[in-house]
Amino acid sequence: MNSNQLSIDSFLKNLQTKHSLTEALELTTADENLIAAFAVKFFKDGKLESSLKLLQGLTALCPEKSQYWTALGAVLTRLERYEQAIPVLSAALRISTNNIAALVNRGECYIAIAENEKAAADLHRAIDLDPRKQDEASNRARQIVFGMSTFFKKCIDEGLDTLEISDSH
Amino acid sequence: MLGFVEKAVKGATKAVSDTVKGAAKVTSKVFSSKVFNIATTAMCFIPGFNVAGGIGKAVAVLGKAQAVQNWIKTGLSAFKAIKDGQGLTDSVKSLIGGQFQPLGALSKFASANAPLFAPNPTKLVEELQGKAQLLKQIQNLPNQSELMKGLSPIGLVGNFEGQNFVKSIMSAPRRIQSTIEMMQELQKNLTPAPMFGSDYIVRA
Repeated sequence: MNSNQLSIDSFLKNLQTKHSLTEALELTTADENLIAAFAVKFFKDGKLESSLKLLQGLTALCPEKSQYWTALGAVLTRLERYEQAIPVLSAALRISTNNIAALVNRGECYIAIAENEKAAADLHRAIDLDPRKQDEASNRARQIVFGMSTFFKKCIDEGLDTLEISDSH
Repeated sequence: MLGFVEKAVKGATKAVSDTVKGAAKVTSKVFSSKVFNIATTAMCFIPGFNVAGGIGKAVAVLGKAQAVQNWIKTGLSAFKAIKDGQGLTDSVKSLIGGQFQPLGALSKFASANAPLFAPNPTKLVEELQGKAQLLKQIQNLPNQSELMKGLSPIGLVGNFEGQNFVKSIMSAPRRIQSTIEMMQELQKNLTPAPMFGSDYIVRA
């Protein structure tokens, strides 16, 4: 990081010559990594809102980096803000189409908004991308598919799909 | 006489049938509860899977019991097809999915860069404070007001690609706002603790 305070003139000049907002702000890769490490630490400590703010900043600084979009989508998923997480995870997948973690997280979001077909498609793709079962995210996709299939089958076995429901609560 | 017996049998059968039907009828609340209980049992082996937030929310989104019943039917065909096609069995429960990090590659990166936490973040916070101020000034430039209409995250990525960088920065004030908020969040979480001899600690 540049130890001198960045002036507005320098920043505007940087905007003409540099290639990213990170560079224009004279932030180094080490600074970016440190911010990312804090985002992960806050997430693991359960400080999801703080982690969210940091990741929103990182996606603003480096919108070309899929891993920040994936992580941001994961935090939104954990916050149960599924509708917001889906476009964020889609952004990650647009940059990196074989991003298994983003596929699994988006699959979970689709389950929560009752989009079975889309959820199944994402999880299926996550499984297909790792046929040797070495990726933890794809293995989670296998578990979710198995769990969802078992869940729906049990519902049908117990006749919930044909049960008569009265309107009263 | 025979006709009377037939009628009596028919009547009794209908009464039994109605009783069964009546017993099978449940309130939507009981129905939702049954669905949720089955989901909890079926999904409990998946570490960290949020049944309330996932299945519970789906049921809430669908609203009417009939919509939930349709969802059950379509769900079985969608997921069973993959389960059968991939040959997924009970053995999936012992897969290493328990170590799944939802943050994806970033989790692994942070673990690999654990020593990053060793450096004192004082300098970073100070620098970020200055940069946040600078970005606020940029944000308050006269021509920024009409450009303050935020872009969606997808729009940001789309606009970033193949566009003039300066244009992309100036037309995406939400990026600047997010960066300011990120810097403020770091400052908020990293607070001085001089009595312990270190410049900053992470707040509990």
